[in-house]
Amino acid sequence: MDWQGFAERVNADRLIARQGAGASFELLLKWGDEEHLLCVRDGRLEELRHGPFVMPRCDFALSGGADAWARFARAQPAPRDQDIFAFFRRGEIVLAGDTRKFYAQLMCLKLILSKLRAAGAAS
Amino acid sequence: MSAALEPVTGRYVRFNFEGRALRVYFEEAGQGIPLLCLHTAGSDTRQFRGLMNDARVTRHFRVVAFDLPWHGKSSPPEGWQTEQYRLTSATYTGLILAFMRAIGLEKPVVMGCSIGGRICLNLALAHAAQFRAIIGLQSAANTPRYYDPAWLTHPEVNGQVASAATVMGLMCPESPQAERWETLWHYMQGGPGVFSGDLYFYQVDGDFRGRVKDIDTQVAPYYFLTGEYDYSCSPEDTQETAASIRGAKVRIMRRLGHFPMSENPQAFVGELLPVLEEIASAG
Repeated sequence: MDWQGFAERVNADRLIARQGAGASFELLLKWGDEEHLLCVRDGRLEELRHGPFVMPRCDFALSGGADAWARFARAQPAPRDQDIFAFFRRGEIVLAGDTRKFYAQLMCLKLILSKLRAAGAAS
Repeated sequence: MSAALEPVTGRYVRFNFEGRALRVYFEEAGQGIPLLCLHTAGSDTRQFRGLMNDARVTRHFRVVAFDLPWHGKSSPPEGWQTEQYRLTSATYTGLILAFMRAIGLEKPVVMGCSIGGRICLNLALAHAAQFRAIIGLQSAANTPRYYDPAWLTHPEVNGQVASAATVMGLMCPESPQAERWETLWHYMQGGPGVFSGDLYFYQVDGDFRGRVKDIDTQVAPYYFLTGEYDYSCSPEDTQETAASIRGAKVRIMRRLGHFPMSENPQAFVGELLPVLEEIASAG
């Protein structure tokens, strides 16, 4: 995954600015062996750090194989690869941490994750 | 200024059900063979706005849809404030039949989506003779639980936004943005606990595995239409259910997801018309 320009794509998105207003969370995204920490404040991606980390602070984590995340992040995802819940159902991506916070921030989170796609296809 | 009056009319009907007085909102458009439409969990009749405004459908079909009690513009029954809403197979089935009696709808084609598609299986099992044909959209006998809807009613979670966020990925990414966000708006307007109450039927009570093999499509033909982007009721889920029903017909809809009639009405009607034509020509 090339993270170049990801934060800029997120923070320039009017939809995320509106629907993600007020959302603040720290997500640990485990992409295969890679770890990435996304710090969101009021719907803006304020900080993006790349691991490895030792006991990083986060609200919740999403862990999946590199192949699963790569399929999710395709510009035109295949049917049933367009949403993290599809990967939850198949056990390919797993949620850990504060589930309440995950649900409270879910709209903003999904919109931000959709920006993993270079073409920005919706989640 | 230009204005366009839609051919859709909305009314209320009052009837008693399970000993309680209900005030139920319904909409209709068109004339001809009655086509009773059942909305998805946590939403309402507006999902069928495209169908009701499409002359290709309404020329030969009277499209009718009602908001389940607690949904849309239908009232919850008196005393709702002290009870938890939970939809069951028995109540859902009874409500559909009671509504049909209340407005005098005789032998309609019934078409339901998601929970509506699930209850279509029970209608086919127990009441097939009351229907001309049955169309299950995103219909399968069971869906495994892969998330816990209890979080949608947590006091520290905005249930309206979280409900919309939960279902947003069920649609095809290329469905028109205006229709996608209209679909989500309906979820954002749902009453507290209503979506999760419907999911009690979808995830727990409404499991028809092992029974669907008894559906007799000679009494009422059964059509499955499933959007390929749906991971809740996937094409595989539909095909597995349909394989056990002799005579059932399956159509997997490309470029559509879990809310075909709402997320892309134009594309959906193109998929539906051949089915409606077959039903109409069967007499």
